[in-house]
Amino acid sequence: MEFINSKQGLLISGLVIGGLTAVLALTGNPANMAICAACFIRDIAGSLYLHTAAPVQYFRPEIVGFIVGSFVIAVATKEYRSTAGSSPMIRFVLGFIMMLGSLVFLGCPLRMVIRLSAGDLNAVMALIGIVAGAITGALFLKKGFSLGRESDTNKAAGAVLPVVLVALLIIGLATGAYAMSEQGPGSMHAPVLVALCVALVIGAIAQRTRICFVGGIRNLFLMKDFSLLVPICGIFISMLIYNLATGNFNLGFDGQPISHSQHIWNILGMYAVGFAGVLAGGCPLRQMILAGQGSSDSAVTFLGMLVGAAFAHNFGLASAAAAAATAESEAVLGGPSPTGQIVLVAAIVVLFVIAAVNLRSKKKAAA
Amino acid sequence: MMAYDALEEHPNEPVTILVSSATAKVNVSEVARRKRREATIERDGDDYVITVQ
Repeated sequence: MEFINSKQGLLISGLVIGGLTAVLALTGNPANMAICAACFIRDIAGSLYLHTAAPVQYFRPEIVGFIVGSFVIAVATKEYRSTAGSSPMIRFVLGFIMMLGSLVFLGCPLRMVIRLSAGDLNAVMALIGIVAGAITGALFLKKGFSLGRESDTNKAAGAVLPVVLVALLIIGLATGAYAMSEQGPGSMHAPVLVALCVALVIGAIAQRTRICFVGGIRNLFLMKDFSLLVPICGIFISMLIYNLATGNFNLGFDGQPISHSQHIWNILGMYAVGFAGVLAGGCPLRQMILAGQGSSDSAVTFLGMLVGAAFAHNFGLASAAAAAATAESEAVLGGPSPTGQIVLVAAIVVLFVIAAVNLRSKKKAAA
Repeated sequence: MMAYDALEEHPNEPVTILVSSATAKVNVSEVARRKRREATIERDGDDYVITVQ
């Protein structure tokens, strides 16, 4: 077995990714959000005016880096394979729901780990949710859930997403035409070159190690295999060291940056992410890595997340962050609006429908 | 899942598994390794043939 896929290799990979994440935190990315796949896709949606929530508009080079990093390493190691045709529209919906769930919790699984490492106990609620959701998905896998096999397609098709994202990045830098937040999380970002280079390396490592929080829980439940969780532990350790060293560790529920303490919605938000992630074959980061290595189905999932982010902010479905009272304003409890709550619950029902109608009998599957 | 079930159902016989992605190749090889069974991998075009002893 390659060293990188041994337990030691996976741990070192996680530590390296965590270290690189700390670089992004040090150089300007938002607090407790040095990397957040969902939030950053949401910020890109805002930069392209797919939504107009002013605090969260910025074309994140990190997203380009993850996908292109995966693409480059996959081509270099001859693992690039252009595939498509595995229920793309269902995957679009799964991506849409993963984004909705993430924006209710205010973070993807990766940001959940980063928040845990900063002492944010709200992320413990999210952890409960994502574990429960991933186990739900795994139970359907055991019963024969499948979105069908992908088929080989034109080699160029799998390269469309990386190429388009690079083109969009260049256009944005050259013209300044995209929206850019002046306040809020969208205004906090590492320098473009730093963000891009770090993300390229992370994308390459993530492609080689198959890192995926949701997949890790799935494998642990189905096969008692915790290898995919090892790099996650590495990321947590690196970020914990960073947060302790920089005084950013704050154990508790209150006063955490860009978060809320509506526990039931943190749980349900990440339940949706865990469940949808297992059905789709990976969490938001993993979807981008798969898209980079040629899967058009994962590219469609990415588009589902992009549209889901726009939808969430255009219709007020994303959670508000909690805020303490100031001289000018009252305290904000945070969490999703009533509409957001209804839509999230409906989305979870949709996941059960998707899971149920895509069960295959084992005889049919073996034929 | 099908590969995992096949290895469980045939613990003492060779099992040949055809997968279409490098990810699946690594996953199946890891399952075989954890079951203390030897796995050999051959390329068949863009697919991988994994023979688990």
